This record gives sequence, structure tokens and C-alpha cells, in this order.
Amino acid sequence: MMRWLGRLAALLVAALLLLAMQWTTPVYDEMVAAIPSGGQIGDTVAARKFTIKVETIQFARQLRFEAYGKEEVRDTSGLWAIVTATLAARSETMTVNDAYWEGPTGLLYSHSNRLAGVRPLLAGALLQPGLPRRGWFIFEIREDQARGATFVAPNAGLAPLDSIVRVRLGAGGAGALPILDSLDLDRMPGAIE
Amino acid sequence: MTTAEPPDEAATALVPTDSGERRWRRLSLWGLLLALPVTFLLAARGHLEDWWQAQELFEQSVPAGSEIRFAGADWRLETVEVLPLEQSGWPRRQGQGTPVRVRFAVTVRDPGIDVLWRRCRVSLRDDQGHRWSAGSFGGPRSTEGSMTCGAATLEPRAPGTVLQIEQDFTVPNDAAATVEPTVSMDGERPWYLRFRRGG
Amino acid sequence: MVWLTTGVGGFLAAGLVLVMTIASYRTDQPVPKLPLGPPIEAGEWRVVPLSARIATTTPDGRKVRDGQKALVVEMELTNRTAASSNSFGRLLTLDPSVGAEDRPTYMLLRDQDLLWEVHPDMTERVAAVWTMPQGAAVPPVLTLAVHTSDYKRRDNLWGMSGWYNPHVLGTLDMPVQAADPA
Repeated sequence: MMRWLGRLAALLVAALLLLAMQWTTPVYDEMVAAIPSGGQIGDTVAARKFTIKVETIQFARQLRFEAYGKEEVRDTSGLWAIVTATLAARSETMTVNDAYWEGPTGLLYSHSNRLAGVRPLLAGALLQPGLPRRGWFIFEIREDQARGATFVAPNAGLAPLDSIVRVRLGAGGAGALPILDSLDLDRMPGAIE
Repeated sequence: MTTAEPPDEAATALVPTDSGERRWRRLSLWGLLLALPVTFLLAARGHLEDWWQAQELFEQSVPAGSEIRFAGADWRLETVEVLPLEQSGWPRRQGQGTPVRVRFAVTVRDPGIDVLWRRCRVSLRDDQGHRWSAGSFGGPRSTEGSMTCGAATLEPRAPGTVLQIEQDFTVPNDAAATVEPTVSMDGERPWYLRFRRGG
Repeated sequence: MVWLTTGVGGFLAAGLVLVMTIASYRTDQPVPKLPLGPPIEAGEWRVVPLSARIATTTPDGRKVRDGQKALVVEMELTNRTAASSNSFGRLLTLDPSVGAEDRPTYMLLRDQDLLWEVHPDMTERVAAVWTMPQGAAVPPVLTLAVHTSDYKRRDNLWGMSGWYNPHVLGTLDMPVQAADPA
């Protein structure tokens, strides 16, 4: 009798263990997710092949720039977020092809493709070791995603188990966000070109 | 497993328990420790070969001024020159860095250059482990008839042809004097050449 | 009796396959008609079709090639997913196809240029442009098929999350405005 109870108890424990393991198995996305290196604005955050230092963020409702000899104006239904950062390759020539603005609720905004011809854009720019580059990542976001966001680079989905950087962009002050009505990129200081 | 076992249980139990059988079962379990990794390695053989082919692991140092046989040709470093900023067509990004042009004189010895030189990689290295990859400037070539390593593989080259292989780089100003060119290609990787710069 | 208990797994499997095969032969339900006007929730996208017209220039100002004309369908497009997406290519198809290409080109009317992507929860006015030979007959009321897919937190193969099972949500009838005489 004791033997039977013992065996039944062992069976139940094994079943519970298996069930617990099945319920707590991470989703495939999480298992092969990239390994993040975190930091804040002003920190130099290091990934495997590059380091980044996010310096400032500005918001504007409209961007103006000159490209290929023409004046261009870009409007948006939300906000333009201009992140000024310094990127440096660590040991090899490389490019950071993607960057994302992750809002406080987890929405991912990829860097804007509407700004062809703006020279100081860092996404896709060639980085040589020993020659850090200062430039911009420009995103088009909803106004309610501006505070408490995270800057993520490069693409977490294309870098399984590789390292990505996640830079916390801060919650901003309690007051209203400083949003410019229109920003002329050619006249903006800070980026070298 | 059970507390009390009648003496004849061993003969009528479901699983035979004589010592010879037990020894073989144990050996088989230990054998798994060997069999499983070997199976994985065999299944991944293609990937491992590709990985091995793509790594630059073993350096073959070339003293300054000498020639060496590599991937079916004789390689000699001609110059590592710093280009003038203006006329080289250097895409002046951010006003920093120095354009450097490397030129090799290569005498073809093997007719199969277009296969041996696949995925040819010429880069500049310093002694701290930094590696600069070749870029391309838009400007004119400094020598008539020079080409990049990749362009040399576009058609078969007859043995005896002398090729001028030229590649352009952007390196920091202070590294321009000390960087050393390295060459690697599918035909010889994981061995690669590193050309030392003499005095 | 022994056969039934030992083979119960096999019998169940065979029975299940039989039921599924019979079920797969049922006639599909007719594709529903979607009303023109209210927003259409189509999986990853929320679309409000606005107008359709035949034109000789695409919305980026370029003229269509000689011997061709363009069908321009304007709409408001919102990305319902949590990441910027460019999967609007298979959102709308012409049903029946009137000799036009399979996938239209999407243009952002704000920039009057190609649409690269739409960001999460941001609505943009876009135009889907089909180019077709000049002689292709476009009916006065165009039928568009709206495609949708379902979100699965874990899919059946890898357990990855994504939008799977693309199918037709319904069809839409849009009156085509006459081409402006060029």
C-alpha cells in the first residue's frame, strides 16, 4: 500500500514538474532575442561592434532641409524626434543599419526613410575604427510616445543572441514637451558635415 | 529499487539483471557521451567548414620588400601611400581621417585565379587589433590599369601576367604611418598574409 | 478488446483525419461585402478607402509610360501592429484583375513619393497605384478584395509571434471617377 502511494506521489511530482517546465518555457522570440546593453543619455553604451553615446533629443512638428539642390519640407501627423548621438566602431569597419524608438508602451518606431539626402544621418553610415561620427537618428513618432522611450539599435530581430544597445531616453520634465514648430536641419548645430 | 527481492526474481524479472548485461548497459550510456557530440559535429560539418573558410586565423608575415607566393600568385607590396585630400575623390565624411591607398604588384602563377581569389579581402590592421576594410573612392586611379582584388577575379588571368592590385582605405591620422596591409581569400583562408612595413 | 485498447491512439488519429477530410470539402461561405465609408479592420491595417480614379500621372507627379494608364485608389491607412511595417503590399487586390499588375505601388500623399512604411498607430493618406495597358477595361464600379491576417502569439512551427493565415476579409465596391482629360 505504501509502495503504491509512493509511486503515485512520484508520478504526480513528475507530472507537476513537467507541466511547470512547459508553462514557463520562454517564447521563441525571447529565447533567441538579442542581449541588450543598457544605459542613459550621456552614457557611452557598448555593443559588440560599436559604442554609442546619445547626447540630446529634440522634437519638432516639421523638418526642412535641402537635398539634391531642392528645398524639402516634411510634415508629420505626430512628432519628429531628432536624437543626436556619437557612434564609434570598436575594432572593425561597420555600419549601424537600423535604429528604433521604443515608446513607453513598447511600440517600435523605425528610423525614418523620408529623409534621403540629409547627410549627417547615422543610420547606414560607414564607421571606421578610431574615427567616431556624430550625427542624428530621426524618428517619426506619436506625441504620446515621446516620454519614457528607449533608443534601440540595431535591429533586435536580425541579431539573435548578438548584442544591441538600449538607451533610456528619460521621462522628460513634468512640464510640456519643448516642441518646435519647424526645424531647419541645415541650420541645426552639432552635427559635423 | 524494491526493498525485498526473492532470490529467483532475477531470473523472472522483466529486465534481466545479470552482471554482463548490466555492464553493457552502463557502457552504452557512457557511450552516449561520445555519440551525441559526434553526431552534432557530423550534422554541422557543412556549417563548420563554412565558418573555418571565413575566418582569418593564421598569419603569414611578409617582411618588407619581399615577395611571397600566395593563392596562386606572387605578391609584393609596392606602396602604402597617403593620398592628397583634394584630388583623390575621397568622400570627405566629417572631415576626419586620412585616405590611404595600398598597391600590390602581383605576378600570376596559377591559371585558376578567378576561383582561388574568391571573396578576396584586403584590409589594414594595426597592432591593437583594429581592422579597416577597403572602401572605394570615386576619384581616378593613380596607376594605369590598376584594379581592386575583386575586379581581378572577373576574368581568368594567364600565368605570367603582372597585376596592379590597388585598394583604398580611410584610417585615423595617427594610424596612417603604422598600419599594415593584410590579404586573405577563399583559396587560402584561414591563412592570411600580413605585409610588414620596414623602417 | 486487446486490439482496441492498444490501437486506440491509431484509431483516434484515423477518425480525426476522416472527419477533417470530410469537413474540408464543404463549400466555403460567400465572401462578405464590406460597406464603403466606415474604417475596415484588416488585421495589421485599418483602411478607409476614399476614392478611385483613372489618371495619366501617378501621385508623385510622374507621367505614366506611353500606352498605359494608372488606377489610383486613395485611402487612409493606419498601422494596427506594434512596430513600423511595410506589409501593405498585399492589403488590396483587384478582383477580378483587369489586366493590371498583381501588387500596386503605394505612395505617400503627404510627400508625393513612394511609401516606405507606416508607423504604429499613425494614420497616413496613401494612394495605391496600379498601372495597366491603356486598353484594359476598367468597370465603372471597381471591386477590390481586402486581405487580412490573424495575430498569433506563438505560431505552430517555431513558436514565433506574427501575423499568419492570410485570407480575404471581404470585397469592396468603389465607383471609379472618370479620367480627367489630359
